Amino acid sequence: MKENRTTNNKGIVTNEKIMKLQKRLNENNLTRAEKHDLTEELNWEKYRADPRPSMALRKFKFMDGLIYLGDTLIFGFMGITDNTKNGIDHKGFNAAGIVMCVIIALLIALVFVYLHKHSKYKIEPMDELANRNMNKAQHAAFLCLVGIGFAFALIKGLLNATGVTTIKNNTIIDLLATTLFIYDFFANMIFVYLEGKDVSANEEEDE
Amino acid sequence: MAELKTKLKEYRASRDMKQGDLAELVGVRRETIIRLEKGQYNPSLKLAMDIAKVFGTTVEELFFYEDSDEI
Repeated sequence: MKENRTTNNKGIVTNEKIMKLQKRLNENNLTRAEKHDLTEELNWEKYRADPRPSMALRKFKFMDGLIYLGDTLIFGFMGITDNTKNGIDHKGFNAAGIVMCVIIALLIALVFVYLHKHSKYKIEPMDELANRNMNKAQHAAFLCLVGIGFAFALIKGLLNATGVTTIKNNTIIDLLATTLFIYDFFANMIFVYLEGKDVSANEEEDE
Repeated sequence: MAELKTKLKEYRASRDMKQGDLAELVGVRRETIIRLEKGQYNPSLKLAMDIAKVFGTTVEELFFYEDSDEI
């Protein structure tokens, strides 16, 4: 396999088998299931041909989760500060502004670490167990999100039963983004938990 | 209740093969092989056949059902 390895004009590692798979994947007569199988096979061929050290999918998804947590904090904070009665200025030099700066600085640092790791290591592709765990994690994340929504509505209703809740137009996008990012955060973290459950990723190889 | 058992570990050990090597040959992660060996995961037919092919045996020889007394 290694002797066949070469790099294309974009500097991407490839070999004859990868090129054949890519050609086959571009054919129009493939069913959805065949495309899925071929894509999986192609990802594994690329992984095998890549000379970089490997990084466990679990670690990668954990970093993904942290980035989504950072995004959730930014959009959530913006949404909360914008939607308070008189609006808290998170753009000025005040407590809210400083908190916002700290969150953004942390997220940027995290993105740099993420990109560095992404370029230094090859990431394990998804396999059938990972796909199964990710489906479970997404289902659980959706239930978490619905639970949070209900809990929030219940608390709000109990505290202020006769009041009216208004959402300012400029915070609708913050609310949507926060919902999506929190869902992705939950999905990634639950995936990490499921992957580590019962089996230690660092389990020693048999002697 | 019948439980799915496997001889994967024995076959792998007899060929002096590491979990990572087998994982790479059949296109899955090492975690998947670990779970298969521990009986914590039932493989798809495709994966079972790929593993059997690596060891030059049949799926039935590698994976089999064993009756457990617990109901």
